[in-house]
Amino acid sequence: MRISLEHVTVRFPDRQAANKEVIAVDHVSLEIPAGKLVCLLGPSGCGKSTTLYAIAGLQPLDEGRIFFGENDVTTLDATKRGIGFVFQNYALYPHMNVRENISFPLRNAKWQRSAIQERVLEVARIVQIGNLLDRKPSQLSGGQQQRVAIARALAKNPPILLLDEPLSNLDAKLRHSTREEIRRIQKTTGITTIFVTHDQEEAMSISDEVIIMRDGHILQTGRPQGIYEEPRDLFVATFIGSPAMNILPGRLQEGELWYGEYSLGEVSLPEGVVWLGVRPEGLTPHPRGEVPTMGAIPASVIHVELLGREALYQLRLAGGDGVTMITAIDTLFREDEEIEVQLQMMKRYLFADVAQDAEQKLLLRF
Amino acid sequence: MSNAGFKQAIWYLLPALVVMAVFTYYPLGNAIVQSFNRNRSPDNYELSLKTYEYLINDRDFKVALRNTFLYTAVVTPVSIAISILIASMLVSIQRLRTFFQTIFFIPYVTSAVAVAFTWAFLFNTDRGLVNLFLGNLFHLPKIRWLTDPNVANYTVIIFGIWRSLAFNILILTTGMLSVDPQYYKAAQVDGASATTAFVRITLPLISPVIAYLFTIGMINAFKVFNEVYTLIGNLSRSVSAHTLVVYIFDAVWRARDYSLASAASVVLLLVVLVLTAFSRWVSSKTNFYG
Repeated sequence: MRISLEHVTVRFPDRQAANKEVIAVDHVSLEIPAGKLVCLLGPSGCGKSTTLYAIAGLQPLDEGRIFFGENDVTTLDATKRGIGFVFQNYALYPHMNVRENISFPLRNAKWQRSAIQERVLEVARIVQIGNLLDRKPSQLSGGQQQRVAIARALAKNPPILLLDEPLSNLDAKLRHSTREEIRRIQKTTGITTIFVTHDQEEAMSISDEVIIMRDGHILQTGRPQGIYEEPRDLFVATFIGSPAMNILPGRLQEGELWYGEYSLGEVSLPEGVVWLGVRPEGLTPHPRGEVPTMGAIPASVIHVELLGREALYQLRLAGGDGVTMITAIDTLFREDEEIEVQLQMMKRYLFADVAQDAEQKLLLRF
Repeated sequence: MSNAGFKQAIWYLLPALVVMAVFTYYPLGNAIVQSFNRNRSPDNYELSLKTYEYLINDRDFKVALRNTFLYTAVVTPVSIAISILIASMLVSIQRLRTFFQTIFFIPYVTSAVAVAFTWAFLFNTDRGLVNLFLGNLFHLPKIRWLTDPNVANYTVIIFGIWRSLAFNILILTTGMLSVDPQYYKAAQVDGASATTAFVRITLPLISPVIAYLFTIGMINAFKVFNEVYTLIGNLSRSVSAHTLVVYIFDAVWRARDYSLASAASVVLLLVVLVLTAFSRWVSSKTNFYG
């Protein structure tokens, strides 16, 4: 089912100052297409969880409207929205066993006893917990609790599934397999899913679409790869991607882009100070020759990490800035080696400086 | 514990142990010894089972025992049920919650004797507000709340329920507030009505608190004295509404029969011990978190 938000606004009373308010979600409008898995991504406090709770009906709105398909559900009680919700700490009822936890929403919906039994076994099979049905939540591992929470959310066949940081309580390995699991379940059931996370890698890996939020606003919406390649501004550019994009001070002068004393080629933009961004894989290393290469910046290798498939370098550029570089394993340099790096075509980004544009928007990718 | 640790700990525990030995364990042991005394006075000791023989044949003791059981059986569950209702309403209000909590807690900190005088006035046959109210509104005949041997029992029970509400409400409110609000959000999403959420989530989750209140409530109900003695002790010399502790009190201060009082105390102790063991067993069975 399609979900639309129109100018959704949520304010909280400020804890520090009485009579003041904090705007958690500020006139957010968005559209989530039916059957897709969409991530709400942003640093903590950006309003992503509040937005999710608002969609679930657990957070009243101060302004705006929410639609499920064509239906306006803005004032509909959470008990009647019929969505599935997976809480960050799972919120499994501790006094009920797994079977009772999963049947709870079905009993509330007045299902027949036999239908409930059948459905419990069915969702248990989907999330692969058929052997745990008689356990209490306290007898389950974190990953198993997580599956039970998903099973409970899926039990009543909801048109919408909401997940609030569902992987944050799992260890790294489990996080990896569980997110693929969630993706698999979402694909098999075709349920419209919103997934809240602060982990950009998580968001990139499983979602059809990513919505990046900050300070209660939506910064950018799009396919993960699209956002990675065309970040709207400096914040998104550094937030998306791991290791993060390298940011260097740049200068536009006489039709050329300069990093310190090194010219990086012709750019036809008005003169001024800019931020130059380049992702770790956008750097090409060369051995330092007698004659400096055109458009290359001298650098020294500070640290090398071999990651099996690739090598991760910490470099110090001639201008003094530290950068991260990822290369294939076949071109190896040693620590303390003096090299030079080139910035690859179309992997260079120019962002406005705060002086010209508070949002530090992307000016050019070249 | 290592020997040195024990030596150190014993010094810290000693003051409390001395106090308990002097004021609890010595009297307890003495009462058990005295209960087997053939004579009324402790100065004249003669070992026998005569007092217990007398006790189990004494009509007054049977009445007192029956009254105590009735009092406990009614006051404890009824008070807890009413307290659950009031506490659930208290936790559902946001504003003035502390204010109302205080209001409901005041009966607990006022002396039973002082309150009993007020209640004695309320239940006065001719001038009491209760009869006035019932007479004017429902045209009921005057009820001799405090002096009718068949009614006085229930007057004491009503008073006892009211008295025990305060503590129960306080503990239950705290218990209900300590339930993780996340469960209620989950219940909302799962389509549970407020009633369903209360019955299937709140009650099971606070069941350890309820079990605790049952234990404490039963023990306190068995030891009930102030409520009975101050409310009807002086008005009705008839023993029809007396409880175990009142019986013990009378055995000492009216009959001067220390042996009889000791034997009745031992019976009370045994009953309370059995009930406590039973309720502990029940609450260990109702542990939902296993």
